[in-house]
Amino acid sequence: MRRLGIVLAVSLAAGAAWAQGKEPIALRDMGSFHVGGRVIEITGQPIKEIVFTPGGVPAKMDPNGKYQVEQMYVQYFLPQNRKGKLPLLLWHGGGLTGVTYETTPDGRDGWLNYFIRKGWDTYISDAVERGRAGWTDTFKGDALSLPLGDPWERFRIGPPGSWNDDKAKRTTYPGAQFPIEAYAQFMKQGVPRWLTTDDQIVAAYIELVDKVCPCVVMVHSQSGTFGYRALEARPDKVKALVAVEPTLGGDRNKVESIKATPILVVYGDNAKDHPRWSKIRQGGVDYAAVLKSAGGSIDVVDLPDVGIKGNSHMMMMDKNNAEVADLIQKWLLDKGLAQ
Amino acid sequence: MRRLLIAAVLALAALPVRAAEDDIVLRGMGSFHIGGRIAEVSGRPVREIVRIPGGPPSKLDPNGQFMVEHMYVQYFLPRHRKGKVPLLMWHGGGLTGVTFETTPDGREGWLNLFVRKGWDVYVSDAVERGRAGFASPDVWPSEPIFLNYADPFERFRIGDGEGSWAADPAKRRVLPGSQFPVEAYDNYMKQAVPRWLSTDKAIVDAYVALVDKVCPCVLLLHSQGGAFGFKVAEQRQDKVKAIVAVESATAGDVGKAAALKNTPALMLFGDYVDQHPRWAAYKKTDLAYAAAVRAGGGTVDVINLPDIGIKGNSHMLMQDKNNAEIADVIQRWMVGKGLVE
Repeated sequence: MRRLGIVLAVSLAAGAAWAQGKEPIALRDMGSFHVGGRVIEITGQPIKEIVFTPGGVPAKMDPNGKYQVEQMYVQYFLPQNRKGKLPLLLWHGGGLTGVTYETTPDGRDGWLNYFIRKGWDTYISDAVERGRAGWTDTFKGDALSLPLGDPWERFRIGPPGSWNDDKAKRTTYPGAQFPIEAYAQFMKQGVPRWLTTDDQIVAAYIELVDKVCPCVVMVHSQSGTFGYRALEARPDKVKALVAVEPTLGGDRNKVESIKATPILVVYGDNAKDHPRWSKIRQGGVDYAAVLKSAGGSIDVVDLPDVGIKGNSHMMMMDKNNAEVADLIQKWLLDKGLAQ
Repeated sequence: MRRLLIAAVLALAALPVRAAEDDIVLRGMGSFHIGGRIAEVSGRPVREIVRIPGGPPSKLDPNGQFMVEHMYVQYFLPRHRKGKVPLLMWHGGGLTGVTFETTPDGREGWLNLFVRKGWDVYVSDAVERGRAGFASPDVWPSEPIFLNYADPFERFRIGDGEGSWAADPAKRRVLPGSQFPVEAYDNYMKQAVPRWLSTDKAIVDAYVALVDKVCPCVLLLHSQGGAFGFKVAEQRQDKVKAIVAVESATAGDVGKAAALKNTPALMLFGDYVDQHPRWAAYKKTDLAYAAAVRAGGGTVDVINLPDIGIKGNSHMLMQDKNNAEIADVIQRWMVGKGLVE
């Protein structure tokens, strides 16, 4: 009986991959590292005495001295049967971490597992200030935490006015693909963010690109602008850019320099009508036109136009996340980036 | 030439896929968040913010419900499972699960080593650390602390006590025979995250929720994680089947130690502990708890690594150069306790 209990617990914890009897994930290596950042010096602060653990031994803490700041965190998985010709880097959006790609709020496989299974060396990261990157009180301004209801309407799970603290009274867009029964679980993935750290974030991403690329970079939401800035800084190293609902395009004055890098931009459902997303999407479409007229290669896909409906801003977690990933994988194959 | 290359690549791709001897083959991997509660914030002014420079402004109402005090867990399930129960790795203060993932000089961490030994491994970030996220000052009024470069160097027995760190690497006084990869100390400091001194209860509550989800299990604890692990085991003695406490920074509640009657424990200490006033004091506390467990009918084995010929280990012994040798010591103990097929 005890054995049975253990087996059951394990299979439950393993979630979808196990339950669906998928092939094992065979890796030639996995690991993590931190990259980027700089050392700063703080002076003139008084020494504190603190107890780290209640009942523990008091220790002096001198807040002066040198501090490591503005580094980022990267975890990598290298499949045994590699088919992607270059590493694939997954960069998350605002107020989130690499967890965005690891799992879904309802416990299915995320895009990390999907792309490893497709044979991509996958590098998943936490940007400066987020998650395992750590943070310091040297950033300007406050860190923002999102109230429970904030992403519901902003990430197009439901239309404006659809959020309610009472679960039973919340509404969604018709045919919404987001796993709304696990919305609270999604909110556990959120981390505070600053609004003043873009330059530090980009600096660390460029160091990451210098370390592991040539590569394909996939960006989401806030990291759209980071992906473009990294591409503009290292056009020889970023060989393709997949931008999932980027909140901004690139610099229109720099389109000449990135012409050789194919770009795919993907928008989910209701992006054309949502008051906030219609503006963001239009900005992306206008940027694509400028890049194209300069001879660049950029494909913009509105998922509903290719028959994929109901996707929120968090399409890598939506119930049809594998279908959306298939579309991206097919584009990467078409561009000759995978076997 | 290009055609030839393509042909060669295709030929390679056509070979039957066979896992190399040292490949990590998993039947599953993934992550989840667990625990936490909804906190209510009220009376704060609504702000208008610009989330992306040049992007459209949007309102941020800092009032309302917030999800807080949950923790993050990532799991790796080897195809050839040999550990009879999952192995949970809990990091120490000011750190995250990264402690176990890698070493500052880029060698394999204990995560990989124990997955290779056939354990279902769950590596987590405690409440407030890393991917667990942290609550706003509206919910946690106290401030976190941040560690400067000198602090862990001197406190974690890499250097020879107070004053051993210097900005110039050539002037740092490393303990003789130290196994810590001192040349990569900068990378170690990148692993650090802020910590609060007021969140112990929230951390323990989330760990209990984790144990309720994935255990029966073995807990592998480090430093501050030791204090949490023993307290959790006291509450869930039926689910925590064994404890490996690596330089536990205090242990459980002596008055509740009898709860560990059926939970064998291993306490592991590195080098230079007895000569370091701070670590000697922690060890004394740990050994007093061990005595209380034994008095209650339980078993605690204590290994001082220098006593078995393993010298030079810092407080971060899972990242020291001989980390694989120490993993083997732990594995042998778990085999001896019948926890491995």
